[in-house]
Amino acid sequence: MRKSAQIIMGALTLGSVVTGVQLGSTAKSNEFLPSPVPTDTPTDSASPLPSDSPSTNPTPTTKPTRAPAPKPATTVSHTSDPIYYRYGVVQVTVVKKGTKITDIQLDQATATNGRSAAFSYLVQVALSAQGSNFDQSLLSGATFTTDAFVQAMDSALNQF
Amino acid sequence: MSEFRHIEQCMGTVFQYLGYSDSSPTEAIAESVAVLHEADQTFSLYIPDSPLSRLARGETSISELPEIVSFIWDECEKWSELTDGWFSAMTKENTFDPSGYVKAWATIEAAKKLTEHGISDFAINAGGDILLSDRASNSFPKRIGVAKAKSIAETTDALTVLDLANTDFYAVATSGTSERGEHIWNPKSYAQANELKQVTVIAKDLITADVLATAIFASGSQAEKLITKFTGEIEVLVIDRETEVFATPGFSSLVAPV
Repeated sequence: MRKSAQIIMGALTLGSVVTGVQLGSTAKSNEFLPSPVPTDTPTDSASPLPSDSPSTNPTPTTKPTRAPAPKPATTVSHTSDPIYYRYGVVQVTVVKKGTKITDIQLDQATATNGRSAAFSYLVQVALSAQGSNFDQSLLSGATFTTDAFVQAMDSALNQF
Repeated sequence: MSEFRHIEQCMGTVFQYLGYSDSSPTEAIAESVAVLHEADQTFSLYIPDSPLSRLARGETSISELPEIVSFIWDECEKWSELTDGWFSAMTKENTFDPSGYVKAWATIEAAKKLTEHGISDFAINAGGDILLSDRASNSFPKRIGVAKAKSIAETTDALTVLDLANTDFYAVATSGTSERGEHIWNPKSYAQANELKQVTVIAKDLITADVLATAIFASGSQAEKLITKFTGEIEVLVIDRETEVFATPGFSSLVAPV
């Protein structure tokens, strides 16, 4: 496929191989992006600034007031129902501090044919996606395992 | 406007509804999922006495079956021609298995039920293939995550998020070996298609996205030719066996800023 892939690149001017930067910093491939997944405090911008962006920032008319000190958030966890699906069973415990999901524990995560490897990935996706860059239900390309995971997450989150 | 969500198991997969509605969406969802189940009853090859199962066993003929079967047959033929034979609803046993096509078609029909009830801000995830309402307002989030092939996911947290707001694209479909293993056949050789890991197609409608994701995946090393044929109609992301990632020129403009 390598040869053909190169042909695709040429003929369609796919241009550069789509790198993690172009795909947004949540995406990366083995070869091109050694950096870790972004947390909710990204340290660098994924795309360059547009050239026509204003060179100076408008001065705010009012001085921002200092936000009141947040109340200390309490940590609460809830465990989902066990979700039985085609390849096994998945059960999760979601830990929330305030409104933020701080941890997702896999209480049960079985899958045949090595599919269980997907679960740790799904946990990462669920944690990193809570910034609501997309809705968990709008994930293209994952089927059985993700479905079970999403159902388990819903089951746990509905208890909050 | 309040948010509604619904999960419906049908066709051996899960249909997830997400939307916003002023009024209760219960009746609309009930009518919508009824469309899915009716399609399943007609076209399932897992239901022994479904019309398609009887057709596959040679117990009946197309002309004796409901008109919708002929319609789907003709549509599949049309798509087979459009894809130079890379999409085919015929199995190697020469039986008719349009399940992939039917899932996309039924999802579009199911979406129409919501629209008829005045619901315009919604999306349906049909087992990983996503339909956005083409009447959705600008306030409806049109961001769609693309899962990457699992073999990549084992080593990295790979995920792309698309933003289809202010575009003519209302559908995203992904074909790959990430979850179901190798389940797509090369319709020309009847070997398992394994030259690519994953193909994601963004299109104006779910049938185009779904059919072309399957066809491009099946075409493997011939993907370039097929993708070129649909230039302007679709944007495509391909992950090959070496986990190299390629995309059509317009794809990157659809990627959501982080």
